Amino acid sequence: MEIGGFFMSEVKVVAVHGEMVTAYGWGVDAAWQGLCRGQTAISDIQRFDTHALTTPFGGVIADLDPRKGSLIMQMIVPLLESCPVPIPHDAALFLATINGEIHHVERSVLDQTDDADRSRPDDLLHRIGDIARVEGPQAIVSAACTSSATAIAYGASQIRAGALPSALIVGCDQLSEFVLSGFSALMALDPERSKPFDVHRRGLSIGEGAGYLLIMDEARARKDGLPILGEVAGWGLAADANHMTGPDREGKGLAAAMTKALKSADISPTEVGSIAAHGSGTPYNDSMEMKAIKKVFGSHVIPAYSIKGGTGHTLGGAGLIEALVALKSMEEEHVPPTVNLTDIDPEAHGWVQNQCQQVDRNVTLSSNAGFGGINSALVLRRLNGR
Amino acid sequence: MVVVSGLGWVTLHAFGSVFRKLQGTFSDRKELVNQLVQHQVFHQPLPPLGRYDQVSRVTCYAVGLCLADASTIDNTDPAREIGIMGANETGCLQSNVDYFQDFVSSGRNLGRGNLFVYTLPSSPVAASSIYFGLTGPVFYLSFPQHRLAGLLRAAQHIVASGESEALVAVDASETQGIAFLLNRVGPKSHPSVEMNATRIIEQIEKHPIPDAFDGFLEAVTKLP
Repeated sequence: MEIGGFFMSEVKVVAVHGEMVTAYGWGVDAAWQGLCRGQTAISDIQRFDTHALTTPFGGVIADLDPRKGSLIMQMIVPLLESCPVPIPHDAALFLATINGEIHHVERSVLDQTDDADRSRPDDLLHRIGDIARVEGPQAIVSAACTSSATAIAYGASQIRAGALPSALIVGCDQLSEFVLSGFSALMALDPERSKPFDVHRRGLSIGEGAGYLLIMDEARARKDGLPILGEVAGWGLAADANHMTGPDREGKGLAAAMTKALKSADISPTEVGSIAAHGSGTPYNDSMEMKAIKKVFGSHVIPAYSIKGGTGHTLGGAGLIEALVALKSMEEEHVPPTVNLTDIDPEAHGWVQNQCQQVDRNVTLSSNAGFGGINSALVLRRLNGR
Repeated sequence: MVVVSGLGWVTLHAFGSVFRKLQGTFSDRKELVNQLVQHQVFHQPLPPLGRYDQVSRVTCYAVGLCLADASTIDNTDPAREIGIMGANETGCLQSNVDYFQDFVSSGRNLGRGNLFVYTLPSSPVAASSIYFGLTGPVFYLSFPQHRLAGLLRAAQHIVASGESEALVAVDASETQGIAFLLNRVGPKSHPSVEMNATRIIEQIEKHPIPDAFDGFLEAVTKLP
């Protein structure tokens, strides 16, 4: 069946389990509690020397130790090994990352004690596949800061079409000297802690994190007696075709992604109860994002928030981590405050707050935007809710 | 049905496209770009190739040849949505090394932002989306096994499901690239200027690149 040019089917794609680690610590609950208290987890970076860079701050996970090997595996292995639901053997695996195990590149350049070739994402994908014990198709998905949202969209699309029974989406990136120096060179970092949607915002805080989301056909989830976190009801991907590092100032690409996602979910903007914004904290991103939101939602003003003042920007993991927080927000029936927000930008007034906001609908929209003008939006729905 | 309506390729010293039956050789990058301008693959102003990393350059050449090859689709119509998906074997490995070497050589004080921009696997397809004005889905999707066939199957799925009206699927390394334009059969469709995407994928599975790049091209060019 086609609706508005989109292929629709009777298949509902549901998330049955997901978990994550961020600078708040292990688990969605740790991040949720920190965010709802309005506390930031962004701290002084001790992992490498930051004196020449434009900020000493980042969303660092305290438990990670570079002396113990791959930080990416230090995040992913405990997460997957403690997954309380069985991961189907026939699940596909989509690994979403931008830089993956970039420490191999750093070490190969700094002291030639490593081989840069080991940073190839296909090597990481293979090892994660072994841990998850999945035998379905495997692929690397990379789309700048929309990487893991794009991976969720692609996996969900395949499941809706009946091409895949289930998919495990893993998103991850680490805070490295490589990445911090790059964003420093681009003058994209806030010298203090990132404050999305604040009138005095000056840029990002880089974070790190990893997470996974297991999605499948609802019928299979119910047959197997699995819990259902929520439905991945719609998705949309679109590009600005404008600039490698700066977004389209009017938010045209992001608005197009949001519109597609709503169409894909077959719902109207008035059915959406909240927005998990990308909210990177750069002056241009947050401004264009509000313009995109207003283009799509018009006068239907609903609670919006960004978690990046708390976690930092978790790069390739951001879309998945934010989707997990968005699912949690529907369960809790409120959205968290935008951490570090003091003086709300007039453009965001009425949408974003520095305190929790109640939500009265079972649908949320999660948006991401990244380098190269790449945009994504996911529509998530709570099932069995109000 | 999803069809391939444009197919362009470039190697170290040759380029071509299938439906326009374009073929040429070149000795250096400048000569290649001049020829692509002559063949109206690139229009003025030229893409900022000097700033691109090598994979982005090769991607741009292949995508340009592919789009120029398609005659069933109006690539210049701003209302027409075309996406782009890319794949390769090593992601952005060389650009990562280049950026970090540059940063370290500065005394770990200041890297060059214009090198950092290419340290994302999606940078080459994003750069092409900007130059050619492609506003559909843009992402890197690389299957470790059957990479090009997997990419094309994914593109075929996205077009068939209506998530993008058309998609360029491009596999490009620093030395060679191949790009396909996929779209649904439309009112302007004609068998002489398009090929069934499923048939193409079957050919690719017989001639996986990069080992058999020339063999694959030979097989594909004989298809119509």
